[in-house]
Order: sequence, then structure tokens, then C-alpha cells
Amino acid sequence: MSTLVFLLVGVGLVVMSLHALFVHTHLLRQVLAINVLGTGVFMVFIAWGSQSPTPHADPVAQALVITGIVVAVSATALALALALRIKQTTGRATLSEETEE
Amino acid sequence: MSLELALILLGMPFFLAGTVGLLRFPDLLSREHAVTKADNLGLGLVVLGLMLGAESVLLAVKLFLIWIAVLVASATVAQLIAHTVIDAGSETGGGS
Amino acid sequence: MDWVLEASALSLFGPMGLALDLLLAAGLLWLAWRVLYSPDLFLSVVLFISFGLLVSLAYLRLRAPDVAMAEAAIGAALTGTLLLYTLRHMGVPIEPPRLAQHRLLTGLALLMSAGLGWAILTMPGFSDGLVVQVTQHLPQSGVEHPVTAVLLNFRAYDTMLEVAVLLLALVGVWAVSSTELRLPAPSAVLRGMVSVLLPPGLLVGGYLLWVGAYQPGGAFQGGAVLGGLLVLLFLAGWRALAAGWLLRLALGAGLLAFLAVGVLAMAGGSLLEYRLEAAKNLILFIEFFVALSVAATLAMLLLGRPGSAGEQQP
Repeated sequence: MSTLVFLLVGVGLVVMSLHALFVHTHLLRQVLAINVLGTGVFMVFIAWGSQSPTPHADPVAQALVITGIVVAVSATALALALALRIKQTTGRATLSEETEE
Repeated sequence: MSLELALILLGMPFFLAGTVGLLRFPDLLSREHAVTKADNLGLGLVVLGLMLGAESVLLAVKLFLIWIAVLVASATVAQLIAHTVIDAGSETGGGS
Repeated sequence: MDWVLEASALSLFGPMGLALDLLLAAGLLWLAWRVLYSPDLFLSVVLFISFGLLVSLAYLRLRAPDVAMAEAAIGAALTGTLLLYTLRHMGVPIEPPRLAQHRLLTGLALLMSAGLGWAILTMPGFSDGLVVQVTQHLPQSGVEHPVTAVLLNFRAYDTMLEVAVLLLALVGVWAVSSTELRLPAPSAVLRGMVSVLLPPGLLVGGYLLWVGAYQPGGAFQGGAVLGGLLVLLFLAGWRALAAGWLLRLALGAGLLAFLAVGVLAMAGGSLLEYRLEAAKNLILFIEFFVALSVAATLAMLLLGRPGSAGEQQP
């Protein structure tokens, strides 16, 4: 039962964060959205793997997700450093207004 | 078994009180006070209950250490936040 | 396998378990909503940390304690701190929501959730193929915990590249960041806490690293704990830690150890193919240095470039 509940939570997170990613222009908000998006995908992985009857669920899915979490934090750190640099250079916290001007 | 349950149930109202305090108190310092004091006591009671139910001494010791770690961390963080508030000299309202 | 989980409320079944799951699910979705759409960015970031902690509880419910630990330490705490730090320097706490003019996007999102939901509900049944393979080959891996076996033996290649990604990300952050880290003077309270927490913190980090061979835990979880300690030490005034060749050695040690073991293993077989009798020690050797690198890298991602101040002084 947990499996189904959290599979659907994963779907909800993916959809919500994709929507937010397109709607918001603030860079920090977009980084947040990508992080929630990743969490949604991880949630689907882990929920799916939890169907395995062995005591440790599916170890391959878990190892993949642990790798994913570490890679996600690396990407987030780089994205945030870039966002901060953009803000310092242009004075804006968005990318989209540049194309409008 | 029942003492274990009683301690855990006794701990829960403290979390509730701490959370209500966090949400309802007017200024930062008293809100912080509510969270740190009530939650730590509540956690202590819950951990004590869980320790009585733990199946090995090692597990009970680990649970106790978790409570100590939370105490040290929350006391320090509360101090740091309070110092920052006082140094900034703002948002203390009438509560300090 | 007497992990705590088996005996705790987190292995609840039946209606109580379902109630807990539904409560968690509702909390997760509501928090995600607030994180993504609340007009106050500061609030969003703080709620993102709470969101990460709830996610970690959900992973425990799904019998994935290793992932739960990684999510709590790295996904919630570290990412949250990075976001808070960036937010403070960007200084735009309030941002107007931009929702009204996007009916089309909302429609598409609804359509997509229906599609994804349908895909999930009609997925073919769970196949145990990989689980069976891991269970069969576990005795040849050198460790007893299947997740560690996958991370450091069966799919060690992935993990080695992951360590490289972590290092690359740090190089990237150092390359683009221009701000010098400005820290307040260390307070006596903080220093007191660090001196109390340092020994048990080191113990917990080391324990997590060691216990990964038998139980949930491992290099990344242990490394995250040690990284947190490093940040605390730094904040408490041990600035010298962030300078010089010692730091750079710690940053590269994980990848170097991985590569060295991998290449040495080529003498008898192919890259990263350990011999059975040496596997346990080799894995522990790699994990030790990976944990060191993970700790140093995570701490430096947070603390930024050690900067000129640290390098000119000695």
C-alpha cells in the first residue's frame, strides 16, 4: 500500500515542480523546482523498488538514488554559484528579462 | 508496555504546545523559547518511552544519545538565533 | 539484520500504516506546493528543508534507510543551507507570484499528471531480476549489506564517476564564485558546542562508514556527517583547515584511491574487479578516502573558495 501512495506522491511532485519551473522566472525558485522534480523521480524509484519482498527492498534502486542525491547536490551548488554570479553581474535574479529587452 | 505508551503519550502534548507557541506567540524570542523548551521536554519523554520498549540495551543507549545530541544542538542554535536578534536590535517586539 | 527499523513504528502495517502513509503523502504534497508557489522565497527555502526531512521519513516507510540518511543529511540539510546562503547574498526575499497568465501551462500540467498517473498505475509488474542477482552474488562482494555491495562493487564504476562529478562541481563553483565568504566572529556558545560535539560526531561519522559493510550506512552518509562537522569547525574559528595542500589532498583523495584500486585490479582482471579475498579490505580502503573527500567537498561547496586570505597568510 505504501508503494502506491508514494508512487502517486512522486507523480504529484514531478508535475507540480515542472509547472513551477515554467511559471517562475526567479533563478532560486527554478533551482528549488528542479530539486523537487528530482525528489519526485527518486520517490518513484524507491517506491517501485519497495515492492521487492527481500528485507532490503531493491538495493540497485537505492544505490542509484543515493548516487542521484549526491549528484543533485553537486549540480545545485554549481547552479546556485552561477545564479549568484548572474545577480552580481547583471543585478537581476532572472534570465528571462534579458531576452525581452 | 503500558508505562512505555504512557510516557510517549505524555510527551506528545509538549510537541503540540511547542508548535502552537511557535505559531501563535507574537515575537521571535518567545516563539523560540516555546519551541526549544517544550519540544525538548516532549522529545525526552518520547525517547524515555521508546527506551523502555527497546529490545536491547545498545538500542536504548543510542536513543538516549539522540536526545542528548538534540538538546546540545537546539540549545546552541537557540542561543545563536537569540544573539543575532539582539545584535540586530529589531523584531524583538515587547517580549524581551 | 536487527536494524532499528524492524522494531519501530515506521514498519507499521495495516490501517495504521496506511493512515501514516496518507498523512505523510498529504504533508509532502502540501509542503511541495508551498515551496514552489509561496511568494516569500525565504519561507520556501525553509520549507524545502522540512520537505526534505519528510521525504526522508517516506524513504524509511519504503524500507530504504540508506537513502533516507542520504536525503536527510545531503538533500535536506546541505542543499537547504546552500539555498539559504545564496538567498542571503542575492537579497530578494519577496518575489511576486506569476501565476495568473498561465492557464495553458496549468492545463498541460493537469494533462501530464493524468498521463503519468496512468503510466504508473498500468506499469508492468515488479520484476525481481536485479534483486535476485544481487542476493546471489552478495557472498562474492566482500560486504554483507546489499546497497553497499551495489555501490562499491557491482556498480563501482558509477560511484567512481559520481565522486568525480562531486569534485568537478566544486571546481566549477570555485571558478564562478567571486564572493569571499564573510563569516561573523565565532561566538563562545558555538565554540562550546563544537568542542562538545566534535568527539561524538567523529565517532558517528566513523561508525556510519564502518557499519556500511553490514547495515545501512556507508561512505556517503558518514562523509556527510563529517562534512557537517567540518563546517561547524570552520564556523567556530578553525579557518586554517580550509587552506593549503592538505585540503586539496583531502578533496582528491577519494577519486585517487578509487582510481588506484581500480587500475591495480586490472592486473588480475578488468577495471574495478576485485579479487574476492581482498574485496572487503579494498572496499573499506576506498570508502575511507571517499568519505574523506565527500566530507571535504561538501564542506567546501558550502564555504566557497578558501580565497586569498587563507592562502597569503602562511
